[in-house]
Amino acid sequence: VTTNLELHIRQGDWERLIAHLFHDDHDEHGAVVLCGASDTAGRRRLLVREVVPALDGVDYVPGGRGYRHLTGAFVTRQLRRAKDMGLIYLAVHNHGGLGSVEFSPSDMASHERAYPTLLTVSGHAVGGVVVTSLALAGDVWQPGGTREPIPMTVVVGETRNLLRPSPMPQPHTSKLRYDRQSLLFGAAGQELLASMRVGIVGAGGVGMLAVQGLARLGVGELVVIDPDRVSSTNLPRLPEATRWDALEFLARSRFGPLRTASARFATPKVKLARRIVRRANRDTQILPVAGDVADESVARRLVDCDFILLAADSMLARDVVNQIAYQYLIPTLQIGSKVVVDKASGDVLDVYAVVRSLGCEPGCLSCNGLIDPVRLTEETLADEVQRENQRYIDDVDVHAPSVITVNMVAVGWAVNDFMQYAVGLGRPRSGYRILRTQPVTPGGPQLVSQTPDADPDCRVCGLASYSVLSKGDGADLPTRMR
Amino acid sequence: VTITPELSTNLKGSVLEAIEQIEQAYPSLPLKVVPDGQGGAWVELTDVPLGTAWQQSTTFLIFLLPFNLPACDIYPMFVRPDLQRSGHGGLVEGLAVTQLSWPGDPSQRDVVQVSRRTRGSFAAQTAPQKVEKVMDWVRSQ
Repeated sequence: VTTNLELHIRQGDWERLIAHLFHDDHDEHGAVVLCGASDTAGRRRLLVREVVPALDGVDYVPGGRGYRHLTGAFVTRQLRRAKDMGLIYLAVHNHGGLGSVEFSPSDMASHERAYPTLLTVSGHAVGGVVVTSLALAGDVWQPGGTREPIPMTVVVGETRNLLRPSPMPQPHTSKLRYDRQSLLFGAAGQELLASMRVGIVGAGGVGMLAVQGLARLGVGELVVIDPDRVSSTNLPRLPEATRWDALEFLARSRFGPLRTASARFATPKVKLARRIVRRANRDTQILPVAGDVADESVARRLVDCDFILLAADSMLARDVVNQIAYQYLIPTLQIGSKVVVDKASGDVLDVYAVVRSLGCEPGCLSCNGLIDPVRLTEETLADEVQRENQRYIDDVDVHAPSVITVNMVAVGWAVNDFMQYAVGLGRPRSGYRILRTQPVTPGGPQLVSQTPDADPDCRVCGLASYSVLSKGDGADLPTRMR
Repeated sequence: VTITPELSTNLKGSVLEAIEQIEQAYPSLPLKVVPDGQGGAWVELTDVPLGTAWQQSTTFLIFLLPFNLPACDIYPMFVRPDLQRSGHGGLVEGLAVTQLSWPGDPSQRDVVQVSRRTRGSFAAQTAPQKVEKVMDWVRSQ
């Protein structure tokens, strides 16, 4: 029996399910959820794509052997849909009570009668789930004949709400070093942080500040992805980076090969990230990945994360991480900062930081035109020769202004957002927030909150049959085969 | 084109699907497929009819099916460099002969680039639809 099976569901879907199951009549009601799945070393996640309520008296009726049951026609219809989309079928009903729940003997007997046949028809795992509003237990049958409970359900949204079949004992103390922050979220909050795996895509001026903040908070594991090495021009923005990391004495050489050597042998940014984490908090583990998130083997490191911070600005990185957020139901914050300067006059036109929430509600980067198709195609082309001969890039060496203080505005907001999500204090589960520092008129707002557009036909976050939402390993990632 | 096991393991599923759609849409046209080393594929269709707008009757059409289909558009596309309009000869304004380096030829090939990108959503657009859209535009010049 594995103890690593988790059910992941978006808060909006969970709220719809609970609203259907728990009426004023205090009676039993039924539904079906259709799920994708994700398997990584030792961990399996079922990802709820769709909640299908069963209509009382039509789809969910009094039973001969049990109290109520789903009708054969309803089960057949939903099982066929699951099979067509490569999804897992889970039947759901509710019990009374609050913090604890378990299947009744008649529930288990009905599973043993029905699920072998449903398994044969579906070809995928099938199962049952019983819930109260605060607890969930599951019984999942795998095609190979194994049968697994669901020890933990994760509701992703404003908070990371964990549901179990029965309450877990709560810790009462945490380490002395966490004393001050535990006054905000308690030893239980500290333990939640320690249980989490957070991906940081991009260890540049934004991502590296996030690495430091997350390590000091006491997050259990960080997966840090970046293909680059430290350069002299990074030093004003990378915490703890030294001129030795950038091999600055070589970079300043008049001798070309020495300058080339500085770029080639400078410290990889993920190695600097590991140093920062080790100095900040020995309790935090780090997996440094010196690679491009657009490569399949690198992107796969993210799919079992509990949260992702996207701090890389390439369109390929945006496209890949945006899709992972919805395909694997991983709450994600895209973080950026921008300084816009008029090229001719040198006037500062705009200074702002932006935090965009992804993964929990429709309204992804693709829906909102935030993945530039021209730049995406440029970055997709295999090599510089092809990019050049197709005349897409004006000047690859042009860099935008970047300042650590503006980056800190974005990172502080985003990491705090993560902390409030992780420990249960709550944060907005959707929306784009822009924190503008220039130009700001007297009395004018510095914070602008935008409601993103959500395209129902979006191939990432929509519900059309071709969308990858919650499909987990059942859909390809938009990555290179490397 | 024959999808060999070797070719199949070098291409992403969405790219293989696009190649199959192109084969089905143009069963009589010779098709060459060259993996781009990233999971995508360069494709050359030959003997594509040009219609009456051009002195030449057919062209080759070369394009990249990117590894991140359908997230990424299929563009640009390239046709023969010696195109001459039926009436007054020459190319259409905005088109020009350029040189293409691609893994299907050992050296650069002269081509005319005829497509930049699809406006609006391209996620639901199939590869043959894109080919037809571009060729319709070429034929209408």
